[in-house]
Amino acid sequence: MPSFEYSTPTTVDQAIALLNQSGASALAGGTDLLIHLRAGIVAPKQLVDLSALDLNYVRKDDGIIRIGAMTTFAEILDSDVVRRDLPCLAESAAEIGAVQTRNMATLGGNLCSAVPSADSAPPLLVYDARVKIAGSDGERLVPLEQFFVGPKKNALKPGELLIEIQASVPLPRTGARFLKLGRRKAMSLAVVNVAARLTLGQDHRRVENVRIALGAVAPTPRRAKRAESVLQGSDVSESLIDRAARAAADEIAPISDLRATATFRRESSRVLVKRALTHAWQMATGETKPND
Amino acid sequence: MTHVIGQRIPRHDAILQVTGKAEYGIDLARRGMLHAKVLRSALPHAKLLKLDTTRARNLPGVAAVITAADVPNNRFGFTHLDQPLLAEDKVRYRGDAIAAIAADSLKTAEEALRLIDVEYEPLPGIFDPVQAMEPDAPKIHGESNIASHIKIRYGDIELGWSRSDEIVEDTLTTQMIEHASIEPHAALAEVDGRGMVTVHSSVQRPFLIATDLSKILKIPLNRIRVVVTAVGGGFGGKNEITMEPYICLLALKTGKPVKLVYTREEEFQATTVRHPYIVKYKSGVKKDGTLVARQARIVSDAGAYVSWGESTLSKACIHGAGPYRIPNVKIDGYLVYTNNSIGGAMRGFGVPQLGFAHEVHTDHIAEKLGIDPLEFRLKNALVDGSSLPTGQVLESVPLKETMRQAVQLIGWKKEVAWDEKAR
Amino acid sequence: MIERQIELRVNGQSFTILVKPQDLLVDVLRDQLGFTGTKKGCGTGECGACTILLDGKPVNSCLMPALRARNKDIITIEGLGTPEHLHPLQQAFIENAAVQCGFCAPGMLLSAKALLDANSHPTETEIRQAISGNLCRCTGYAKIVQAVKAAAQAMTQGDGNP
Repeated sequence: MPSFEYSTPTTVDQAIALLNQSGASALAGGTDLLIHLRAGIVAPKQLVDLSALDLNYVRKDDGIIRIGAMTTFAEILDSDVVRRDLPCLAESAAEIGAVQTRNMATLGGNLCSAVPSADSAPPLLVYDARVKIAGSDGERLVPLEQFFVGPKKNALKPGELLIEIQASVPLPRTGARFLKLGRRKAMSLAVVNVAARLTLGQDHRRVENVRIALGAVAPTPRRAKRAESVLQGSDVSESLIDRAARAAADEIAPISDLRATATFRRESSRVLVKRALTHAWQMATGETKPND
Repeated sequence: MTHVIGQRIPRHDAILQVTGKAEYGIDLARRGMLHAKVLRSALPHAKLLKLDTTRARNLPGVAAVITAADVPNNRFGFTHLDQPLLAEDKVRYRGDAIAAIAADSLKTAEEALRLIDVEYEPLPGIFDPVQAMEPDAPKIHGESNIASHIKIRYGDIELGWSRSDEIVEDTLTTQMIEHASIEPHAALAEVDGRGMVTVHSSVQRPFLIATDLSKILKIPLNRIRVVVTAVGGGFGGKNEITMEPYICLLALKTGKPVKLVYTREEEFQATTVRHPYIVKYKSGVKKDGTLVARQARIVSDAGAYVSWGESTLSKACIHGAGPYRIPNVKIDGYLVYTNNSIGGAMRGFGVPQLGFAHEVHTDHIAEKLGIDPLEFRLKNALVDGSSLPTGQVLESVPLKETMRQAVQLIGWKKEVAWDEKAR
Repeated sequence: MIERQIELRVNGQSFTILVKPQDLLVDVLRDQLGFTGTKKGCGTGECGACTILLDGKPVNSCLMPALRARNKDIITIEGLGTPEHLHPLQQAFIENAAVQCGFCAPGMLLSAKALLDANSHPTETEIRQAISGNLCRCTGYAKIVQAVKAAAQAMTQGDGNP
């Protein structure tokens, strides 16, 4: 383990001041960073430990759910607000690492890692989440879709800090589902992960709004907009879901790597999108409850 | 009289294991002990042009650095004395040891590793054992990459082919597997005032290690003691000498206890693995499902050194025809050097690779003949008094009974629910 | 690098020690404080052998700077029970042959303890999920699951629940 300085700021302003120093790196849950430090992939001069900042919360006000960036996945799983209003995010939290990982890893850390397989990304993309970023010039709100700019690259400028994740409480007649395919059931990176959200009209048939997002099948977690357009405004049906799933499989750009071939990823994406949409449909019509 | 069969007898050491009091290799500690690290080759196949340890030796906190010149007998191996403890003129896989360091802290030892200057001349590497058998392939040791050829001949294979109605051929391959015991290899060596060397190590075969140490260190066996710690998993991977000679040499050189623990990365890179096999089967069979001839050609990827490669391949060849009565058998096993990680002992010792291969092949034959795979096996299975291709006569073979019970237990041929719609 | 003096609370006992920023909790526990029951199998948070309880929750001590454990309650395997006074989980692991090489046992037991502290009647699925961050290369897990079930039963006997 290389040497570094270590600071534990207690306010966001202090943290930003420290992060503006050269060679400083933010330490959130540490489940990625400590591995990279040990392997010599990164060599910061200073670690800025964010654990003493007041960024550990799930709140709901004015129809907006606010999650502090340092909230752990275990806390997200335990949150009644998340389980009720953003069930798809709770489903993804349950699939991250194992108990130990979830007790350490944070939502902000997972998003900032910006890995294509980040499990929390597809659910937040389908909830149209925004991220609040603090810097020396103040705060800015960025749609999550614009936060991922490349493999392991996020939209943070040097010295900036992601402090909060926001999502609106979904409308009635909304169903959502997260599904992950890994090489094993725990402690595995996604081969493919998928989230889908459907909001139906008052007739319980017409798709008012739909979001489909996938991970590990492109340089960043991404939405499948062509697949969304297959459903948007139409009456939902099995065959339409089938078509949307095929469209999603067509528009992604998977690679072959250690975990799976591109062909397998594409075909798995189709199956997972179909299943996720089917679950979301059932939930939106009240046939099933979240976390069934 | 005490009855133990059918009783729950707790492990005698379980109480230490569940309370965290069992002392494993990684838990060893002595006052004033030094920490060792091993410098490993960065290239899979290269000439060593230059090895300069001066800068490492001069780092404060470094107690000793050893290279090939410090090893009294720098060759070891079970069937082939082909492996240097520390590389001499060349390195043969990415992980070959080049030098070892003892320092007052692990951090210093790690830093010193980076101060050893090595200059390589890369040589073409060979990573596919079939290619390595070609006459013009780059050579890893001496004249040929074939380290060993094992032959078994039984009956008359040509006669077998002529009596066959069908010939079925298959090529099956198995992958490299790391033992991945949760405890990495770990050991501590100490030398007392009389020059008595004691090694505490997380190993499976202490006497073999003592014998090897005696040869490598050129110290009589009665002056070497190997004490086995609690072993955090072995599976064959702690069946052979690994780090013990380095720490013994460093302890002898410094007079201090020396401890070494491999990192998880070293476990994968520099300890042995299960040999990958390429198995070519050709079987002759009558229409009624009677096996009459089988030929097997087994290519085992030894990696850079033989280690247990010949022993595991011998066992694989003995089992090469599978558990079937076949009157005409021809088996050829080739152990081939490559620049891959070294194969060694692992659960089943060469046989699981063959088990996979001959059973897939068996299913394939049954399918071609349109015979139920279970019936096909029962028809040809070894029975009491059967002879193996080696000539060994088997006395008690409960194979058929085992198969019959197994198919009942697994619900053979029961329908499995399959949700077509979910796809 | 400047060493800092910190206080660590391990198994109910306070220790004042000097640590560097890069010192990992697992190494401080093992090498400085002698709690070698905490094992180290991979150093990358994959195997779970280094699992300890931090304020009651299982974490990988190999991924945690020791500085982060200040002002928190740490439980290691040495704090679960002793050979003289075994915790019901330890007793159940012995009786159900849930231990072979034993190297994963300390972490496995602490993950199981955290589960039973939160859920006294776990289902088999809940047990398997709770120990999914602890690799065992010997047992195949069946006996471990059985042992955790047995311990849950032993611990809830007499509380009115089945």
